[in-house]
Amino acid sequence: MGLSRFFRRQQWDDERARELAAYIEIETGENIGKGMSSEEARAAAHRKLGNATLVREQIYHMNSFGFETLWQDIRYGARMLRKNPGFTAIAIITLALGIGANAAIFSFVNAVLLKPLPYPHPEQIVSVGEKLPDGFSNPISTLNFLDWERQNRCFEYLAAIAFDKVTLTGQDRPQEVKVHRVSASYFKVLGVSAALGRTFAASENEIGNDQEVVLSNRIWRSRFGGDSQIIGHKVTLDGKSYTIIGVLPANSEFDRNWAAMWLPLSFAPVNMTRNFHWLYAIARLKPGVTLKQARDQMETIGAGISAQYPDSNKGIGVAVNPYMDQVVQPELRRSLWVLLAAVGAVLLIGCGNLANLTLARGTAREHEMAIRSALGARRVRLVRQLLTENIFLGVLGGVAGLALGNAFMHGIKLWLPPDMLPPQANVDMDYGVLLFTMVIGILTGILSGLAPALSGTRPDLAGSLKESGRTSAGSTSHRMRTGLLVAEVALSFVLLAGAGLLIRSFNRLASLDTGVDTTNVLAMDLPISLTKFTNSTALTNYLKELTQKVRSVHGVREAAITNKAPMEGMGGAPFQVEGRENLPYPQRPVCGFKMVGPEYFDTVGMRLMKGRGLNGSDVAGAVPVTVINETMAKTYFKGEDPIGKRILIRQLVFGKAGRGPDIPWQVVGVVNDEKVGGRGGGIGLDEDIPVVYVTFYQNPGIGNSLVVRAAMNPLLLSEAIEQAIWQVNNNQAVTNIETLEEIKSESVAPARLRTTLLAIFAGIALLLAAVGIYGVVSCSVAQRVREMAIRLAVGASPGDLLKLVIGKTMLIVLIGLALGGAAALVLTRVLASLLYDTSPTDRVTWIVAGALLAAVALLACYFPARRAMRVDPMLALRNE
Amino acid sequence: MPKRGAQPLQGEVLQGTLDLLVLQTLVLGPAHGHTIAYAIEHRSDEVLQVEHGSLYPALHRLEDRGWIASFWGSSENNRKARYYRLTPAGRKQLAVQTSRWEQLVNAVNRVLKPASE
Repeated sequence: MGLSRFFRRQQWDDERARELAAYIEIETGENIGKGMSSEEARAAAHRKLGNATLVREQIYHMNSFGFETLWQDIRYGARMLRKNPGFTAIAIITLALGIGANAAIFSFVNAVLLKPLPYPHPEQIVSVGEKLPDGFSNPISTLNFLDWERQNRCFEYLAAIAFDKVTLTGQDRPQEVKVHRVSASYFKVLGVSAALGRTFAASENEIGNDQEVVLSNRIWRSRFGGDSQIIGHKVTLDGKSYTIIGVLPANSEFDRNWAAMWLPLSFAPVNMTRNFHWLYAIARLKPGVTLKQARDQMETIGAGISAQYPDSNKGIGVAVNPYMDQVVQPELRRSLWVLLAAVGAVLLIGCGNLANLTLARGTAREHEMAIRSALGARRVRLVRQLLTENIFLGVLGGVAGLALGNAFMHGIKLWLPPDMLPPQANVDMDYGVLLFTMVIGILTGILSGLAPALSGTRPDLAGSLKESGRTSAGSTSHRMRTGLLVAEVALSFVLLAGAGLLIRSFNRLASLDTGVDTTNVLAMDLPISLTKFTNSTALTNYLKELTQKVRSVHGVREAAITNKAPMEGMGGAPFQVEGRENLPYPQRPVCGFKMVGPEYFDTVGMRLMKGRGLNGSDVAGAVPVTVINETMAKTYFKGEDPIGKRILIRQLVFGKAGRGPDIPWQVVGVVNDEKVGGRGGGIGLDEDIPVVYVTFYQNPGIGNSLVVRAAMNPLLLSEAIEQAIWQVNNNQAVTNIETLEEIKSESVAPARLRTTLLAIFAGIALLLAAVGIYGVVSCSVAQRVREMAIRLAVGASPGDLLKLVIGKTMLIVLIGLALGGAAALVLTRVLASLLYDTSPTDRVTWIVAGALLAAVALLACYFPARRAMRVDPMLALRNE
Repeated sequence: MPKRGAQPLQGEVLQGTLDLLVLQTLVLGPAHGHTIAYAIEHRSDEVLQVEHGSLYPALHRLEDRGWIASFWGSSENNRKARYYRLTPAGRKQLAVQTSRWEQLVNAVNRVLKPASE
């Protein structure tokens, strides 16, 4: 068919009309010739020709494209929707809620899980680490890294990374800056170049050549005023002068990164050890080298090294994994998928509601369909008409959902704890999210419209015409609605059970005994540059003086140095109990190692269980002593008294990334467990870890924090404490001032976030299911008014009717609950790894979820059912 | 143009044959719709009874494919009527369809009278 014909359709139609009229004329003439009266003759001619309008319509169709009737359908649909503002509003709100939630969660899934990392050929980037005998990955020692770098033939570039904090001075207040010290090839691995200036050249990993710094765009703008002439300027870090050589691209992962500056990583002779594990590494595979080949080659290299240096490397392999796996941790991955599944279920429930509404409207529109069908509309056409209406609704819902989703997404982003998402993830409403949203909008329209459209246009229409609307509603449509209700209840139950489990688990986690008294305790970091102190005595004296000064602040009860505040992680140390079977060094078990001031236990409120605590006489030169925690005592001194036993831990040499000979730490006491995990170090808040405590006098280090117990709200004292510290040293940065309560709250932040989100989604699901039940029951009551009236007339009491309606609905709800329970048995299993001290089949949670759902369902059907009770039999029957 | 909608079953069967019959009728010379309808009815010994209206979409389709052409003329009784005539392409198509039809008839006959030899 030519396009010209399409536009000349009207003219064509006129022509056909004339042609058909000519037929009538000729036939009539002939009939008259046969002796009929002129009226008879004309009527016979019309009979002979058949339905002229239908013929014309058929020909008209032959000249049209599909979209043209589609446009008709859309216009008609829009008109119908405008005429039913109530239905339209409910439908669009339902869809907007469901689609909006999906759009928001999908924007996170998209940014974190689906989009490739923002580097050229990201699939070629791998993370490389030491592989412990149990398969876990471990940081790398300097010499191991250098051997890998020299021996490998599979990496185009291999770069080491060390996490560090430096103090930036020369500006108003000393400021702590988080930095990555990296190999010069680091930016080559990533394939990123500077927006301004340059990144590192190979020679800058050499000592003496390493006084250069690359800034993130963000710190360049916030601290250096976005000065485009900044390249070549000097900046003072840890008292040393560094030259700014580059600024990284704006809005890149580096702006969201933990670190704000990148410094060259150079290895001083003291760092040249094999038993101090402090480096992370990434690498870019050579073109054509597969992950498997790289793994095989690195495994061989690792085996060679452990054969050569069994003391430090026995059983240690090399782990090579896609960088993506390191960027996105399994817990985050799982949380995101769970949330996406949850919003998907919410949308399905919304879909069910919309289908139910459409079905209900379908019953009301049966008459319309019957008439249109009798006038010659084909079924396909009617189905398409109804589907178009729903797809149109879906698109409207999609647009509204997009707006709502955008708001959701920004809300969640504001609420997101820092560093919860990998910096590479740029969460945004991009085209992918846009497309996803519109596609699910349209799919929702089809899904919610298909069943009603098919049942609403079923061929038996003569019946509907005869019954003229007072039908008891097609049984197909009724069965379908019951089925939808069952599915909605089942889905809601799964969501409620899931949310319930997370809530229960979260409550247990949040009320967990941290082992310390968190009230009125303040913690802060005191970054100290290694270069500031030439020997350990100067350092310990400095720390002692700081503590004393802070203790003299009015309102401070106690203060203590510690290398890590409670719940903030700890250092690990391979140890050996003296006198037990000697293990090769790499096979030694690892315990937490905390260097604290003697007042630490009193400050954070830990209880001494046995022996004595640490005190001021445990200084350098005295017998090295340690206080161990309960888990250490229970795990490694089972059935014996640990007091007096000696634990061998290789010395952490001051100012050196390496370990010295074993020090025999004599156990003098046992304290209760404090939670060491939470925010830092990949240890869960709920884990109990064996820990040994020693005084910083006997094992000085530079990464220190200060914990302060106050007699009042400790935040009120923070200013005074800072002033006290600066009285001792006005170049001492004081950072991350937080109460222990805040630290505790933050360490459960990811769990809180996913629990709250899932609870919100389950709440929406419950609400939608209630609306669905309400709708179905009120509609069925309205349709059964006659039946109710007859029942009343033959002697049923209103109470009987109430029971009848509620009983039937609750049966449906119970079937839904049973199916939902079966589904939840399977589905809540995926939650297992996200739950703390809660079984996925926790009976209380399940019962509460089921009871809540049943109660809400009861409420939702009670109101319409009451209407059945109030039917006036005379009135209802007379109406018929 | 794809076939639109679902016609009644007999219509489906007829559609192909109707084209053939129309083309065959026009071999004898141009004719208008009324004549074609009666010609088909008579020549088939009134076996093929159709509502004459259903002829018109077929005419439209054939014209659309360029097998027949139309013009307005006067009928036997001096009434304005739309005449159709066979185009060269239509003549070729008639030959193709006739032979295809004969093959079909032969095939069906062989099935229906397998023991005729």
